[in-house]
Amino acid sequence: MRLVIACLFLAACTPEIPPGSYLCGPEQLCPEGQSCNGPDNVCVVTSSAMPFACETDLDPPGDDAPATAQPLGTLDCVSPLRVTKGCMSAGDVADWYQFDVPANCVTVQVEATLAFPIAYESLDLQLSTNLGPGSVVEGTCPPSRSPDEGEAHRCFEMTVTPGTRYALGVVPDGTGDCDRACAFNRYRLSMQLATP
Amino acid sequence: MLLCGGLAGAGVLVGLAGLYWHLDSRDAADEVSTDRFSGRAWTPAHQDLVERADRSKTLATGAYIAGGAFVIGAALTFIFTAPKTTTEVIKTGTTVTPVRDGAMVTRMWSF
Repeated sequence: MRLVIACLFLAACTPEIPPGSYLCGPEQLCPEGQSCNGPDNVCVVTSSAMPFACETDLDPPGDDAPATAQPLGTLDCVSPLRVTKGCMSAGDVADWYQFDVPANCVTVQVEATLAFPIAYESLDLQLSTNLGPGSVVEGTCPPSRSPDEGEAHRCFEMTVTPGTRYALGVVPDGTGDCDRACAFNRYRLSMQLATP
Repeated sequence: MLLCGGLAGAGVLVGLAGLYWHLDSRDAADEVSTDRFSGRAWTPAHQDLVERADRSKTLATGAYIAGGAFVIGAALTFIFTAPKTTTEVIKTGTTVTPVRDGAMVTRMWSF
């Protein structure tokens, strides 16, 4: 019995990592012998890994500039959280989302969070005012899911001017794209207007 | 005897080093091993753990082999270099031997 216990104590020097047990890491990093499965960002046996692909309805064309952004609809001065799922296919330069701040608001701020898998290209959030050029905006994200859980986050909140048109842009930041081999990603953009 | 003890001691020390690396390898392997979906992303830190487990496993194997060789060497050294024991029978007592013109008395001691 002691011998058995001693054997168990000493055994297992080789890691046991079955396919499907880890999410893909930065730049599609996976355990040896496994590859990143495009549809769900899970490390699977290389022979069964599917390529990344955007669903058509998540990647509408023509939203690469603030002027041609997709509308997020009418928002109230204090709006419910609006969650938009999107996808950047290879070569996509930006996805822009337009919204108007109601003129009757007294003080209002926009709060936005962008979440995306760390397996593919890294993304930034940009804000455009009156359909002008966008600039990167970033604040501190509240404690939430960590990169260890396969997602990265970009967050910001900023006081905005009532009666003004803004656009939020999801733009690749040029890193984490596997030397352009994984220059794509899917994301989840959450935004709302709130009182500061 | 000194060589024998030195080899045996070296065998034990190298064997203990092998045990250390063995346990280190096991710990690193346990940290990344899983039997179900972990919900975690595979990061360079995980990769480093796999490499550590592999490196320590190799060192442990080498140390066990070297330690075993030292112990076997100690055993062989003991077997082949131990002083041989011989038994000499010395008959003690007084002997009287006749010689020309008389006799010779011989007394033998053992000490």
